[in-house]
Amino acid sequence: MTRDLAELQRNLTELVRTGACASDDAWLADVARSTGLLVVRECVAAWRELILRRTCPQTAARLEARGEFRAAVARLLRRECPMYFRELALAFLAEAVAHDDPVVAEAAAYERGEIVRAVLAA
Amino acid sequence: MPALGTSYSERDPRLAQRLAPLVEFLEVTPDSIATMIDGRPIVDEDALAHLEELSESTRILAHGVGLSIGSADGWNDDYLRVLDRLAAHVPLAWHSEHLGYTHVDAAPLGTMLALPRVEESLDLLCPRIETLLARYPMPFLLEHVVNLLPDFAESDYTHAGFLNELVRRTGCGLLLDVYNLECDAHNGQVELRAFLDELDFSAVREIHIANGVERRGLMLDVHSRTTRSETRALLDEVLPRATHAEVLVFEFLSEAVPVLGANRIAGEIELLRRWTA
Repeated sequence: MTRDLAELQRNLTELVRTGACASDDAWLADVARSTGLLVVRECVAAWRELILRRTCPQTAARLEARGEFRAAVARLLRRECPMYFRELALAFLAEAVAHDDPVVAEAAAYERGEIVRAVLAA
Repeated sequence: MPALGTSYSERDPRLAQRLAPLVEFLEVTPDSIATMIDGRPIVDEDALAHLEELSESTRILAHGVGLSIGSADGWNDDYLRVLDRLAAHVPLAWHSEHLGYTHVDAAPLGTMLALPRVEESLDLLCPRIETLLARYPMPFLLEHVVNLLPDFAESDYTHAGFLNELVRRTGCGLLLDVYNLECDAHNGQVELRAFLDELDFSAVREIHIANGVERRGLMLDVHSRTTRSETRALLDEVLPRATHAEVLVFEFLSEAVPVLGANRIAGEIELLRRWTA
């Protein structure tokens, strides 16, 4: 078992992001199988879903109607998890503006514009 | 008995106006009054002005979430920039942070994880705590965090022993969250009696109380509800030991305000006032 904190934290980050990690460490394997990790991952996603529903409600609602919202949030969280709500929303909208459905894409473009305007005004 | 405090909700200034006369302390999370613009944290001027006004009648505490004091690759300097701004405008009685990490390799995790209770963690934390004590002319407290993951297999210290050692080596204070302790006990992380018997209560300057939710059998520190009787019973065990505690803070998240409502929060503060009288 490693006591190198940097390595340990990188492995735990991988577990939180993806649910798995490449290490053969026995304790990390226990973490990977644990209910606790599952709950941590569910909480990470639930908070981001809440923030995104509030920050870009039009896009979230349109994706929700297509049954794609949670999967879109999950894809984002596998890549990154910005701390501040506007950064999170902009990262989320970056994918949504390229959506095949023009209704989703236009809502995302509009909300991205609104957030950028708010940032510039601050 | 300690004074009473509660959370400052940056999204609802009227709520703070309503709660301020009911308490002696308001606790603000510096991260919550800032937003990131062009890679820099910008502090909300309205919130600063409001806190400055509130500080004329109520003592203000800073309770951080995003310092990430336990990140192996370095803490979050952006948080300190926000705290600098806050401390420059608002007289703070003291500041506190969670004993965990929210960033790894400078990227946010999206959650807060506890550190393993090993010598390597103490070697990381102690110089950082000393830096904070030198940088800000006020006490600094650390709060233990709820750990949902399996306990690290090779701990050098018990939960209380680790906190005691941080206090002994640095002179920092402790923030004891009764609800977090209850969560850890429920989740099989801590043996309550042993923890209470071992903890150096002379370092406990602040106590938190809150409530949350249960998911998949685990208790979570979501701070979204008024307190339950089991938590207040634990508070009854803690208070006689925590003779140096100056404040008991009812903690709630801003996100919970629309559900809780101002009346229930005010009612909870009044309940805690009677409970601790």
